[in-house]
Amino acid sequence: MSQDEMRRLFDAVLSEPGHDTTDLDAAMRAGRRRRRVRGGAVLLSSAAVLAAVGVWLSGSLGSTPPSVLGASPSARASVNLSPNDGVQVTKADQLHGYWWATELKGQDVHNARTRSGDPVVLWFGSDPAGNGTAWSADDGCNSHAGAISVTNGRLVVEGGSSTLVGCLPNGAAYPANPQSVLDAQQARLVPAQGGAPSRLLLVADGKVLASYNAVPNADRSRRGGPALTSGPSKDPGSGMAAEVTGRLTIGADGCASLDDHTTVFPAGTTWSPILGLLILTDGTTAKPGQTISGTGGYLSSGLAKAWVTDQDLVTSCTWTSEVRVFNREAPLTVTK
Amino acid sequence: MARQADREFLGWAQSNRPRLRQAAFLLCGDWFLADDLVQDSLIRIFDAWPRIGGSSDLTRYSRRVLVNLYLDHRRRPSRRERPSESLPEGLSPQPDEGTGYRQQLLDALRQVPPGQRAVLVLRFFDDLSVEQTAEALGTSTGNVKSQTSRGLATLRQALAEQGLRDAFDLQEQP
Repeated sequence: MSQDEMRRLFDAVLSEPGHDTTDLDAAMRAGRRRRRVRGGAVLLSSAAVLAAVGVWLSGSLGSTPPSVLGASPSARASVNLSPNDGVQVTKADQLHGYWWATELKGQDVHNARTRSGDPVVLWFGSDPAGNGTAWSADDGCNSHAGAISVTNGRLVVEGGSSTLVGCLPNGAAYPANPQSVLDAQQARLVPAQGGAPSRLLLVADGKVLASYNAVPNADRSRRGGPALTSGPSKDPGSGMAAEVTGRLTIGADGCASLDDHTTVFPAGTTWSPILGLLILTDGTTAKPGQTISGTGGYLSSGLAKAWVTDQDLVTSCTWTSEVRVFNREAPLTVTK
Repeated sequence: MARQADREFLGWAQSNRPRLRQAAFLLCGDWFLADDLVQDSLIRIFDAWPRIGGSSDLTRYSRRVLVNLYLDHRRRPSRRERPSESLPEGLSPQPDEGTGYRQQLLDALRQVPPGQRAVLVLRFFDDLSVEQTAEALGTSTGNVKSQTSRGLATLRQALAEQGLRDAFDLQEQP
């Protein structure tokens, strides 16, 4: 009988347990930091909304709102950077927000992904405990956090804590992300212009240590994921002819969808849990509530499942009877 | 108040961690990775403790977190292990990779696709019902049943390839 036999098999497999390397204290410290960062993010998003409304009322945005695609890493800042670009940051709260690393110590990282599949991100926000501005940076495996202030234009950075997750050998690692914060003497902001997002430069000894693009539409309170994606195209240029469009939603299963219908996105599309954003193949981003359009078709779930080559993904999401499927290489557009 | 919650979490974690590690190992077949998955799971569970601490479904919740982390790990190309000619300094050959019978069983289990393996572990190691497994995985009961059936079939085939065809009777219950 399966139940008893399976248990016997499992017992045999588990007969030589490995040495326990988990650390409860470290887990609690990291868990506390996650709560604090999320709490900060909520405060930050409230402040961002107030700031945006204020700017809008003052008319300084003009008639065209900033592009939601401004966070795209494709418009990265990794070319012709100078330590004198932009304006020197004089108050820590000028840094508040999420910043997507584009270059770290000379290395182009705009396409880099961390252990969790997210872009390499730096975050600044209000410390919920009221102790000024906090920062958090992922090195690709662990998160590092601390406090930051600005005195006479010079950054005063404290590294406080770090998660202590054991990291896989050969795993992606970007220690330059937190290290740049710790080493930086000044921060400079380059305003958004021409569709490019605003940029943050961390500078020390006349050199740019790291550069980042602003992520104006990150919503860390929405974690979610994954996004169902099709396999790569065997016949580029072929596909269905319907216009597929809908509002990006995150279902109860966490999967990215359009108008709460199961959706298969083009190969290479990813969901970033840390940013709460869908990252399209060209690097543009979309947040829940925005409308995504492209060519594809409306298929039954049985047919649509054949488009998803990763069977783990198939079982990760619940399937509606009708599924929206973008063509494998369809360019997608995002609108408000 | 917070300290009381911390103590409750500690108590729960200390008594449930061994079982969580075993489930993680059955999922991934590697004690190092299993500990990584458990550590990440404990962080997330502690993070959510103010919401879930009083719940009677902590086992199910913790398995959901663990399985999601495991499937997420498998799904992300950047997180998959990459082959290396040499072991990093300080690492000896894995102590969990025993020889003989146990290794054959482990090899057979590794041949079961991750999604199906997750269903088998939840149903037959954690004793979750079909409905509880479906809820933990966020999928339908029909999917759990079909994944169970396929997983057992794959495991039977894998055991046969290891010369262990008759070692276990893995016929499904009617």
